[in-house]
This record gives sequence, structure tokens and C-alpha cells, in this order.
Amino acid sequence: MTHLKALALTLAAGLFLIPATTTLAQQGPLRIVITEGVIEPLPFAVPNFVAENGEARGYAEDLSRVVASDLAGTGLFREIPASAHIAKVSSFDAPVSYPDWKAINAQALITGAVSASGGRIVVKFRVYDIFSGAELGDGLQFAGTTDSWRRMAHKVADAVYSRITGEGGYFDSRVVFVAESGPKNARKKRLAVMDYDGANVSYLTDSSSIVLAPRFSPSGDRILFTSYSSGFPRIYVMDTANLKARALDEQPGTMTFAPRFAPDGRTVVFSLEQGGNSDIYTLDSSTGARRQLTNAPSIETAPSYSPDGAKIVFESDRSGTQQLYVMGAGGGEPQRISFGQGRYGTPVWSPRGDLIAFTKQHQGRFHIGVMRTDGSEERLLTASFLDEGPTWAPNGRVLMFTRETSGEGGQSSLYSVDISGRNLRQMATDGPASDPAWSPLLP
Amino acid sequence: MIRLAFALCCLTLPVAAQTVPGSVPRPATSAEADILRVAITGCWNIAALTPDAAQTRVTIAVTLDRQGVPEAASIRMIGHVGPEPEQVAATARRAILRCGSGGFPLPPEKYADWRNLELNFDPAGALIR
Repeated sequence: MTHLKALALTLAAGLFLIPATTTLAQQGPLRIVITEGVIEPLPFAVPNFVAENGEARGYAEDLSRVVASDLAGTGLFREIPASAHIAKVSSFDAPVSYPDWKAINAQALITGAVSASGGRIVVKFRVYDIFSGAELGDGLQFAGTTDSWRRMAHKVADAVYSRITGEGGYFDSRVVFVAESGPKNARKKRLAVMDYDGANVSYLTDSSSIVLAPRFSPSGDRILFTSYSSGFPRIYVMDTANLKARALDEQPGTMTFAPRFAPDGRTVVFSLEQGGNSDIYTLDSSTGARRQLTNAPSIETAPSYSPDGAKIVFESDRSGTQQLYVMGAGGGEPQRISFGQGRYGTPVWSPRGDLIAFTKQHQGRFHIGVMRTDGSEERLLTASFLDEGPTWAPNGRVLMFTRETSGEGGQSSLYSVDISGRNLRQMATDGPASDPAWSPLLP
Repeated sequence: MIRLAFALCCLTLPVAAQTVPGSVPRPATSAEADILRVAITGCWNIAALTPDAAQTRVTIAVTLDRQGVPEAASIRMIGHVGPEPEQVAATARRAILRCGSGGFPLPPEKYADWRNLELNFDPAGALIR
């Protein structure tokens, strides 16, 4: 009541004190607080890129379709189909008819042009903020071989995504994974790599031995993985340029697994099992020097570095159940960060450094989730019979993981989900697939 | 259940905004403030905000012309609390321009009251945390 009286007095005073002829210069700004918004994909238009010569005709439409697919695939954007376009873009340098694009509620317009000659292709593009009536950033162009036209489309989409959202993109990246075939009880596995959207699959190993848990190096030039080629698990590193692989840390009587590079690209952190006990070690991949980081009778595994290389998150059952812990990169007393019900595993530090993704098992269901690096603000993003093994997109906005269906005919597939929990999508692969690991953005 | 709760929180878009006192009392503008707040809320697309940006408040200054159309060149961020303010400011700018492109339906006789705006955008609680 007191507040209402005070408000009434203020209003009355205002009515009397402000004359109707108040000049503009005397007025302070009208202040408004806005605490809610809408959550909907941003409408955009990508007219087919203009082919600037005959040889480019085969690429112009395909390029613009990949750009549109990349953007729409994020769930943050919605393409306005060409059939709804009023304005036509027949020249890259033609002025933009903003009213026509406003009329169909396009908030962003991407125009582009392609020229091709002698096996080379040049792609240029512009992004327009329709309601600002202005170009968003400067025009850019990319050049490369005609074989790399999809990469150039991804680069265009990354630039558009970045200009509109203010964060980096992730389209020009690759994913290494385990391609599976055969029945569930005799599954054959081999390493494969594909573009982030499932295109351009190539196989890195044959299926003569089981392979698991591939991980890219920070520069994308090497892949760590675990192979059973010797009859028991051992970690290997493969050069992606020539596909040659070599074993790391060949100590007799040990098993090594769950490797991951440090941000320096030189140190490898992994689990080593000896005499029935697993601990976490690091290995200098250049010198072979090995260092033990944990020393406990429990199982310590699945280590992952923070992006600054200062800390490592890992899973351990030292408390009696499988939980997540963080320790310094040099070892030391770990701090438990997961305290919810259920079991936690396969933690992965976000490339942005702000979140840790994990697998959670609780009441017979598996989840992919994220939490702050101190364990706070846990959020579960998925739920199914079996979801596991998250990997971060280079911009820390999207997670990819393995989902396996139940039953004898159950199969593994790759899925992705936005860290908001929206936009759950199955990735396109030729067959069953598991253990995805996202590369950094390609150079 | 957690996903359902999250989905419900994000799909439900209650209007929860308020006017705050200006440097000069503005008794005649509560209705105009409501018009602006409801309109801009409906255009403020916060889907793309990162978790960090979703905790950031930004203050945007904007001047409207006599038809209630925002002057694009006048839109500027004059304050913020939290990380990645540019990301929030970009969404706010789009909201102002998109919803104001045809002119906000404001009474011309009160132009002096709504000519200059300070809009505080606070996405915390509205999106991912």
C-alpha cells in the first residue's frame, strides 16, 4: 500500500510538474525493461548463387543449397523457399530490393556468385540484414579446387553464421567415427571420417581388428584411437595425411585406452591398466616420457583437458559409484564435481571452456548432459535406451554422440543436439556408426 | 521430465517486463511503454544466444522518428552487465528494427515522451542457463 501511495504521489506530481508543452530537449529517455523474448528460427533467404561463367553453372546451385542446409540444420535458422521470393538476384552487384525481402519476412539475405575455370572455383558472397537495410559485414570470397566446392560452401555458411549469431561456426569441420557392420555379437568396426554433415566419407582402417574411441589432435593432423590389433587394447596415433599409424606406450603387461590430446598437441593423456587397476597417465608423444597422474585402487579413465590445458576432467568410481572429477594437469588431489543421482562418465570439456559434457545413466536410461565446470547447473539434453560419448562441435554450441537402439537388432547411430537441448538430429551415415569425435575447424 | 520442463519453460513466453522511472517522471507514457515492450518482446529472438550471453543484460539507446520508426543509426549499446554483450545487443537491434520497421503504433501527440528510448534487455531466465 505504501508503494502504491508513493507511486500515486509521484504520478500526480509528474502530471502537475510537467507542462504539456515540454520540449524534446527536456525529456529524459523512456526506459523499458524487456525480460522475455521468442525462440524461433530466424528466417533467411539464399537465392541460388549466380553462375558467372558456363563452367560455374554446375556448382552455383549446389553451393547455395549446402549453405542453406548448413544454416537450417542448426535449428537456429529457417530458409524461406525460393518459390516465396519476390525479388530475383541475377547479378551479384545488383542493389538489394529490401522491401521485397521484408515483405516475405526474410531477416537475412545471402547472395553469392561462382566462377569456375581450369579446375579452380571462386565463390563470393554477401550477407544483408534486411530490417537494418544494410550489408552485414563486408563481402568475402573463397577460392579452391572444384573438388573442394562443398568446403567452400561450408566456409560461406560459417561466415554467415558467425555474422548473424556473433559466435564461430562449425560447418567446415570433419568427424572421425567408428563405422560398424555385421551382427551385434560379431560386430566389425573400422575408423572412418566424414564431413560434419555426413558427406565425403572415407575409411581409415580395415575391419581386421576392433577400433574404438578416435580423437583428433588440436590441429586435426593426427588421430588417436584404441585398437585391439594386438589382442588387447592399446593406443595408436595415425597421421591423417598418409594414414600411417603407430602404437604409443608399448609397455608389456599393460593395456592402454581412452587417449586424448592435450591442447599443446604433443601431450597425450590416457588410461593405463596394470594388474587390474586403471590410472591416468600422460605421455609426451615426441619423447615417449610417461607420467602417472592418479594413483588409486579405483578405476580412473576418460580424461579430457580444459582448453587452456590447466585441468583434466575424468571419471572415477573411487566414491563407490562412477562420478566426475577435476584435477590439475599435473595431477594432485581431484575435486569431485558430479553429485546427482546415477552414474556419470565420458566427460568432455567444451572448447569454449565453460561447460563439461557427459554421459549419465540413471534409472535404466542414458542421457547426454552438460554442467558447469564446477558441477553446477547440470542439464540433461537427451534420454534414450543408450546415449553415450559426447563430442563438442568446434564452437562449443552442438554435441554429437552415439545412440544405440535396444534389442538383438539394435544398432548404433550418430546424433547431434544443440546445447539448449533443442534440434536433436540423426546424422546421415552409410550404416551403423559410433564413437564420433569432432575435428577443429579446418584451416 | 527434465527435457519436458525445459521445453515448457522455453515455449511459454509470458510477458514479464516493466517500466522503470526515468530521469524525469513520465506519467503519461505507461501505455506507450506497454506498446513498445509487447511489440519488441514479440520480435526479440533469443534462440541463438549462448549460455553465457543468455545471462547478460544490455541497455540499448534508440531514437524513434515521428512515425515511430527506429532510426537505425541511433541504435547503440550504452551499457551491459555480463559476457558477450555484443551478441545480445545484435539480437536486440534486430528486434527493434524488425518490429519498428512499419512504425510503432504510438500517439503522435506524445512524441516527446517516446522519442528517446532506453531499452534494457535481460534474457536471464528466458533461455538456457
